[in-house]
Amino acid sequence: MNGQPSLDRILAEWFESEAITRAPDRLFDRVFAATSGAPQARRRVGWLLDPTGLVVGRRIANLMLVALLTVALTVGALVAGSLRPPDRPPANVAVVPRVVATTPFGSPCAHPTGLLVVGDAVWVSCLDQVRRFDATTGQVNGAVNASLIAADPSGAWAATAAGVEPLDPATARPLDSVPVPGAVGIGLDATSVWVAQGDARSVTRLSRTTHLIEATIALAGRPGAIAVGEGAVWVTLPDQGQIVRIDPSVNAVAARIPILNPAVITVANGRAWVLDVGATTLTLVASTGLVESRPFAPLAGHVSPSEPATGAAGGFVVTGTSVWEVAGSQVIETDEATGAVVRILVIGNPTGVALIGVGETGSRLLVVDAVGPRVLALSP
Amino acid sequence: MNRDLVELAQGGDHDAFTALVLGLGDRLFRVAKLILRDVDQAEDAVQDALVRAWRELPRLRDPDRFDAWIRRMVVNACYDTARKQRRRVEVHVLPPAGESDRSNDLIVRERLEGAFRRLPVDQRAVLVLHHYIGLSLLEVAEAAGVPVGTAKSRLHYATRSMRAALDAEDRADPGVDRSRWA
Repeated sequence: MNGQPSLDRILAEWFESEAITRAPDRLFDRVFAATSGAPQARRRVGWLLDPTGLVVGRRIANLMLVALLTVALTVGALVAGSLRPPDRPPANVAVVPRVVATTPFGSPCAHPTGLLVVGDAVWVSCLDQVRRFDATTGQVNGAVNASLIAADPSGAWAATAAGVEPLDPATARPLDSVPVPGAVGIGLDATSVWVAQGDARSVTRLSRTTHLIEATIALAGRPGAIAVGEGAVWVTLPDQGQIVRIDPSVNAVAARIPILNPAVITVANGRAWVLDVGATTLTLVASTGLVESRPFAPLAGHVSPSEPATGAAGGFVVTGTSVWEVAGSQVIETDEATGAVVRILVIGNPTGVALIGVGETGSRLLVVDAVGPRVLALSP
Repeated sequence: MNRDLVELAQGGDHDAFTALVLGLGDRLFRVAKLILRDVDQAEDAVQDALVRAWRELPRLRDPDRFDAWIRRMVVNACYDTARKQRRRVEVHVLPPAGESDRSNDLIVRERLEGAFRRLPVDQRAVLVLHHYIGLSLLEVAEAAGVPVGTAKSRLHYATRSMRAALDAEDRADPGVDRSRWA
């Protein structure tokens, strides 16, 4: 073998590299056009035995079965007092009307405000503290007095009113404090910490290794949030109604994109994703400047009118081909490429639920319920 | 796979079928494209498979087997599509071997493409199902609609053909790292 990859591995890697294409939309259009209203094959139903033990014909048996089921369903519906037909979700939507699974997460804090999931670490932001939970056990394994957190597999940094702090991976306690006051947002790339400073109307760049300030980039207004990824730093300027893209190679603003009332921002799949203040519109911005707008949490509230949306729409996370959006008491899965709704998970309980954040770990989806308060782990 | 969706679709719920298709379409399309090596043909194959799936869905006995069932439909549709294309002569132009300005990886990819295209479609399907999707031989056999022994021999012959083709081109082009495929 000479340490070289086997043919099996070469083939697997080759297939993987060749399989990046997405199915064209016209394919789905054609399939849906061809199947809509088209008859299906008859279901195969086997022979049944009648109560006398004699075999009766398939048609008669089927009629008996249908009649029996009809009577049973009618009686059941009368007993339950719910003859009202259920609300049907719109096209393309599946509804999962319950929490599929929960893990024994402790109460995160009285007023959780956000969620960040990085590997096995689940960071829950509270008013003046950020707590770290183990994603598997649900136990708290660290806490820091801070208002903001940024984390990646290499480490975590927190921001307080006075400055930013690298955290001990074991305890989540601060290892240092760098005086960058007034942080309103914090983000990480492989080598730098990027801090959006509200009053200073700037973004400050620090070295993750030396903790020294490397650059300060002036902004046209007060920043609101920051996201780092895809070779750029993105900052929202709510008062200006725009986001800016900072080029890290020159530490300067490279582009300004007008977006009305930008509030939440993240970077995924080659684009910046921006949610507006009213949580009504999700705007996708490519590095080329191409902008696409979609309704955020489309159809929220439609499926389950008996479960009121008790909280404001919250966060979202992009995971591969899906975007998970939280609104009220629902988690809505949309297709990353098209924005079409795929599924709605209704996380209802008698007191109502206000979901304020969502993240992914392994095959599970974590959401923060601000009313509980609690962290729920779903198996979508 | 959502069993509830499958059951709804079996009962004629087109919205549920739509959700299923949207969730699976990309993956099925990639498999078809890998097997057929042609976007248009892959599109036709997946379309045929999905339309047929809608019609036949009520006859699926175990909704939990939906993934394997639809995969088999796509593989069969790939066979049909490839059969229709047999009379069309495809000319796949490969750059001349030994060009010094092409990277080793690029040369390897071109050779893989050439060798793969020369395989019969049933052997291509087995390679894709096993090496791309990661199916076991038993699952490959199910998806290809053949006995396990047949799937095993197809995999064997396909792998041998690929290796032989690559080795032969290796000998013709000594500039390429020939120890890459073991």
